[in-house]
Amino acid sequence: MTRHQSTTVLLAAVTAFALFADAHVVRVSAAGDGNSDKLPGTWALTVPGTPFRINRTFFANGTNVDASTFTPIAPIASGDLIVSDGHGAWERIGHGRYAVTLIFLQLNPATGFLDTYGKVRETVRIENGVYHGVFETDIFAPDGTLRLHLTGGTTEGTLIPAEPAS
Amino acid sequence: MSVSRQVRLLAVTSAIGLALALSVGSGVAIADHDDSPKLEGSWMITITGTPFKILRTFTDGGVVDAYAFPPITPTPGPLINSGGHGNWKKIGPRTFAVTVKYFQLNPQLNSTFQILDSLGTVRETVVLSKDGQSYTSVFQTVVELSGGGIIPNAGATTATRINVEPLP
Repeated sequence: MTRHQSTTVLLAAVTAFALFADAHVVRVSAAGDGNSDKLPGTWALTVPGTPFRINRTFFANGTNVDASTFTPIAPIASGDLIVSDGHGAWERIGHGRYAVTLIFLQLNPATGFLDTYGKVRETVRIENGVYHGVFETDIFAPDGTLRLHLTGGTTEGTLIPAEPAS
Repeated sequence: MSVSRQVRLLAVTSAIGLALALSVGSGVAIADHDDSPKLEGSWMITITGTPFKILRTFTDGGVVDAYAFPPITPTPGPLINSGGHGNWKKIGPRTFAVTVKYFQLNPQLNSTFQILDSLGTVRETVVLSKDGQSYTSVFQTVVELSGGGIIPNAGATTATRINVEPLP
C-alpha cells in the first residue's frame, strides 16, 4: 500500500467513524430534547377568565388525554352530569403550532346513560415553553346530532415538571 | 503488524461499525414507517346493541379508558366508574389483546373512605380494520365485589378512530 493509498483508507475510516458518532449524537439529542416549542408532555392549563383548569397530556404518538374541572355543558338540563376525561389526537401544523382534537363524554349517573358528548378542537401555539390555545367546543346528542356550538375559549399553561421529593 | 495492515484493519473495523450503525438505523426506520395499521391512537367506542360509550387511548405504554355506562353491581346507586387503565399487545395480523382494570366507586361512602365497591377487569380481543380507522372487538368482563363474589359480563364493541380536525 502506498502512502497515498494509506492516507485515503485512513480518511475513509475516520469519516465512517465520524458518521457513526454523529448519528449517535443526533439520537441522544432527540431523546433529551429541551426545545421550548414541543407539545409532548403534561401541561397544567387554565381557561383565562374562568375558574376552570385542565391537566392535559400529549403523547409522542399523536394522542392526548386530559382531566378537567369543567362543569357539564348541557343544552337540556338533565340532572347532575359527570364529565369524563378527554381522549383525542394532535398533530403539528407549523413551527410551534399544533392542531388538537379531543372528545369527552357527559354521563347521567342517575340513568347510567350517555347524555351528550363534546368535541373540542383547539389550535395551540407553544412559545418559550408557554402553551397558548384557542378552542371551539361542539356538544352532540348520543346519535351525533349537533346540539350546541361554542367559540372563543382560550387556554394557557406550562409543562408540569418532574419534582422529586426532597 | 505493518502500518499498512494496521490501517487496513482500522478501515475494515470502521466499515463494519458503520454497517452495523446503518443497519440499526434502517431497522428503526422500518419500524417507524411500517405501513400496517396501528392500534395506537384514541377511539370512540360503542358497546354493540347498547347506548353505552367508551373513550380509549392506546399508547406505547398502555391503554387508558373513560366510560359512559352504569356500574355493574347490586349496590344501590348512583355509583361511578373510574377511568380504566391497562395494557395491550399484538397477537396476530391486525389483532390485539387488551386488558383493562377499573374501579366501581360508591360516593355515598365518602365519609368512611371505603368508597371502593368493586373492581372490574376487562379482557378483550380487538380486530383492526385494514385502513386502521375502525375496529371491532369482543370482550369479557369480571366484576369482583368487595364483599366477595363475582359478576361476569360479555359483549362486543365497534370503534372509530378520533382524528385531528383542525380549526379553520
